[in-house]
Amino acid sequence: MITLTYFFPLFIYASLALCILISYRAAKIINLSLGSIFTLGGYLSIFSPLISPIFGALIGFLLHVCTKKMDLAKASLFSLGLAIIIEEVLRIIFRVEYTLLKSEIIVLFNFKLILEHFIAFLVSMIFLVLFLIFGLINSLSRIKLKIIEEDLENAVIYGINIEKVRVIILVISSALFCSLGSLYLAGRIINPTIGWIYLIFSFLIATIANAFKEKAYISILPISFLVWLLSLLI
Amino acid sequence: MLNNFRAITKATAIIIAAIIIIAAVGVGVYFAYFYAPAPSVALAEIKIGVLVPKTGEFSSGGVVMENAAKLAEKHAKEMGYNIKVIIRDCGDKPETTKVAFLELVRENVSAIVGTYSSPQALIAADIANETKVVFIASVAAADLESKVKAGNKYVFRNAYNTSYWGILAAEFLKVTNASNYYLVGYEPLKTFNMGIFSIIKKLSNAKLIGESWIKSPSVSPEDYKRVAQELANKNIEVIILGDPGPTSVSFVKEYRLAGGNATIYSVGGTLALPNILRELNINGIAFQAAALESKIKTNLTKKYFEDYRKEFGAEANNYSGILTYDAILIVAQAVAKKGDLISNLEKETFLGAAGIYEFSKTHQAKWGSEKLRGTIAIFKDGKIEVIL
Repeated sequence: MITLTYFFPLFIYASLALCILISYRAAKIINLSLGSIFTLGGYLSIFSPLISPIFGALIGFLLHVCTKKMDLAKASLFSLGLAIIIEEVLRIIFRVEYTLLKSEIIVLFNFKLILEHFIAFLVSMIFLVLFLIFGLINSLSRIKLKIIEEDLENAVIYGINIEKVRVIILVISSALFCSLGSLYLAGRIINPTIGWIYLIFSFLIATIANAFKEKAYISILPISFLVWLLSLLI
Repeated sequence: MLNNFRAITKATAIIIAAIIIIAAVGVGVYFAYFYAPAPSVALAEIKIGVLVPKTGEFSSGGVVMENAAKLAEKHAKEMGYNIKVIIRDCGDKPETTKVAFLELVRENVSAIVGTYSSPQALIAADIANETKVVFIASVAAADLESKVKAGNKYVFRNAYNTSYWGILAAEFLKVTNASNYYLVGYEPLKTFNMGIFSIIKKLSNAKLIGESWIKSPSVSPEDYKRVAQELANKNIEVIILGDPGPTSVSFVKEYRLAGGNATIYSVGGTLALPNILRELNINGIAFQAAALESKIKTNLTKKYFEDYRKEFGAEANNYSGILTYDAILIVAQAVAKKGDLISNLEKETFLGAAGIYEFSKTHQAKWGSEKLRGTIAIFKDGKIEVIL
């Protein structure tokens, strides 16, 4: 019997993949710290899930400041270093074998669900819908983003503040990863490396979507569905 | 007159003699089973190497192994053994294990204990043979017996072998009179799980309903949901869960959320930790452990659990932690005895927190013997009840 919880990962991975893709295409960084930021969200939820987006945003901002003058390769490598630092800090602070995160159970249409997972699903849905609207409306911001993606030098010539766009992307993607980590890891046993699994899966979706060039963002959800389906069938 | 005087009657003399005999037998039993004799003379420092997965996939297990090793050093010193524990990070791969093992050999250790996964234990066994340094596997269930049969006399194991995991699960089915059961394996541990499952199938009279496998999270992160929901609709009495890791917790939660009500027997690991079970608060989770605080095996059992809590502020691990602790004490006791280390390990008995160890001809600790048995318990109504 297929239940609603079955479809949660589909939307969650799609939104995570979208963050990875936009970071790569517009912020010019393969952000490898996102997995650890996701894990950090889980650990922060021990205190309060509400602080997760703040910490996520701060790390995103820090990453921007440290890598703004670097090329893609160096910036990506730096993000890997940041991921390892976050992981090790978590390991030092939480020196226990396992940490079980608390969760609440709700009943929705006769189905028992974990409340935090349901909220994570809603947050992902809203993020995807908002981005879809952003992609469909022919706004100036969308055109600016497209120019940055295609050619950074051109974007500078057109007077686009590429640094502002970059910081917005890194802050939003890190905040989202951290928030989803604090919600979607609820009820699970976590350890400092748990975020890598989610990062790798999202990377897979983002990489396939990137091959669709201009249709990359739109194709994320169907690709997420196909990858999810494939993972069940293999 | 004096000749007729008797200080004690014949009956009193018999009673006194009986008391003396009973006391002597009692003291004998105590010394044989529960007392670790402290060496009478001050011994030279015994260096014991410990391979701990501080980094990588098994790093959470590494935390408890490291803590247990430190506790073993402290307790061994209290018992009069002058030991020094040297801990090295063996990571999660055979290559990193090899580097760490050789580092410890250069430190002139008497023996090396630890490692986590089977591939790590297998490579450690090979290097032990090359470097002629004794290695005691304290966690992995890999087939080390065949290495011993092939002539590698430097490898021992105080942890269970695969068969014993299966024997315990079959005993659980027997004790609970289960009429049927379902096997749920975990693909990253396929060899280990298949070994357990084949023993259960051989030993249990209960009806096997079916077998499902949860894929590796790196292939399909949410695959436990598929298996849990599939099983929730089946009429099953006992589910034997082969995953000792964190995914087992997610599986149990999902299974209960989907309406499944079978008793879940875990091979141990995460679902064998009393604090996790209390936090989860899900009824009907049975598990095996090398020892539990509520079931005293030797005078070290309670001491291990209590002191671990005091020292590290967390509940002690009842498998990889306690067995690493025991492995260190085994080496300390064996080195302190006269003769060479290997013959001592082969011939003598050793006190641990999980029981009294003795090694078989294939250098496997005799789990299942009277003095060394795993414990089976079940979490019910907020309490842990020992079944076996």
